Amino acid sequence: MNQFTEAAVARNPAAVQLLGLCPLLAVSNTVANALGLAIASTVVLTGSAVLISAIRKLIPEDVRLPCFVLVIATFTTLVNLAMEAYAFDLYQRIALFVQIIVTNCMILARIEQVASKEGLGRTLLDALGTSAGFAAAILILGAAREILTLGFPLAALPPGAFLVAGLLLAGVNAVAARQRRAQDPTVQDGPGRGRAGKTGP
Amino acid sequence: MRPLLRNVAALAALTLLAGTVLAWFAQVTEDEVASNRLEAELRILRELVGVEVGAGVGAPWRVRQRRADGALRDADLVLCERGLVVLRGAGDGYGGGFRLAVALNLDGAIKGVRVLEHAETPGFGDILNTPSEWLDSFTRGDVHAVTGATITSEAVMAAVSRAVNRTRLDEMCP
Repeated sequence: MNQFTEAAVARNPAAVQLLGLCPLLAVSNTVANALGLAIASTVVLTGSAVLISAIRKLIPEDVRLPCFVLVIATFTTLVNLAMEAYAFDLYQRIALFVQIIVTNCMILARIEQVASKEGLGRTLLDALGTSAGFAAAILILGAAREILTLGFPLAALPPGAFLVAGLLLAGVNAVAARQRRAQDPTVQDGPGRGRAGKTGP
Repeated sequence: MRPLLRNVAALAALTLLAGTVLAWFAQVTEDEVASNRLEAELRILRELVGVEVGAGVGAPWRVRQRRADGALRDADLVLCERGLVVLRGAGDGYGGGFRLAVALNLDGAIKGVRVLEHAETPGFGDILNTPSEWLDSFTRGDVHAVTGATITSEAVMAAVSRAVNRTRLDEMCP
C-alpha cells in the first residue's frame, strides 16, 4: 500500500485515529460547510507539511514544536484571510472552525511523524492522503446529516453530530472486523486489535 | 554555533518570515475584506428598512457620515416619507465592541433591532445573529436579559435605549 492510501484509508485521521473531531462534528451539518472546512484543512496541512519538510534540516530539535506551530498558524491565518476576502458567505458560517485548524492535532501529528523526517515526495503524499481521508470523513458525515435532517431534525443539531458520527464509526469498525475475519478466520475480536480509537502504526 | 543561539536564530528567522508573509497577504486582501463587510451590513439594513441603502458619505440613504473632524461614523437613516428612522448605536459586550441599528416608527415604536457587528463568544452570542427571537422581542417592548449571556444582552439593551433616548423624532421628521 503506498503512502497516499495508507494515510487516507488504513490510518484515516477521523475514522481510525479519531483526530480532528472538534471541527468534524461542528462543521458537518451541511455538505457545503464540510467541503469548505475540508479544503481549508487540506491547504493548511499540505502547505505546512511541504514547507517544514523543505526546511527540516534547518529546524533545531529543541525548538521544533514552536517552529511547527508557527508555520501551521501562518498557513491557517492565510487561509482565513483568503476566505474572508473571496468566500465571505462561507467565512461567516465556518470562520471559527477555520481559525482553530491551528490546534488540530491531526496536522501537528503528521508534521511531527512525517514532514519533519521525510523528503518532499513522501511528505506530500502523506499530507494529501491524510487530507483526503479527513475530507472523505467530513463529507460523508455532512451528507448523512443533511439527508437525515429531512426526516429527523435532530441530525442537524450538535447531539445529532455525535449520534451520526458514532453510528458511522460503528459501521467502519464492523467492516474492518469483517475484513480481518475474512483474511484470517482464527482472529478473534479483542480489545486493541486495530479498532477505531487505537492510534499508532 | 552554540545551541541556544541556534535556537533563537531559527525561531527569529521563521517568525520574521511568517510576519512578512502575513503582512503582505493582509494588505492584498484588505480592500476585498472591507467591501465584503460593508456589503453584509448593507444587506442587513436593506432587510430591516425595505429600501435600498448605499455605502459612502452624503445623502440621507448613506450609511456613513463624515464628522466635523473628518472621521467617518455610522449615520442615522432618516426615512420620514417611509414612516421610519434607523438609529445607530454601539456598546461594549462581553467579548468586545458591537454596533447595531434600531428601526423606529414615527410613533416611537421599535420596528426592529439588528446587530451589525459583534465579537461575543460563539454560541452565547448567537442571540445577536438574525434570525433572533431575542432581538425580535424588542419590537414587543418586553425584553429580558438572556441566561448565560447576561453581560451581552444587558449591554445591547442599554445601547438600544441610549439610541432611542437621544433621538428627538419630532426634530428628525417635523
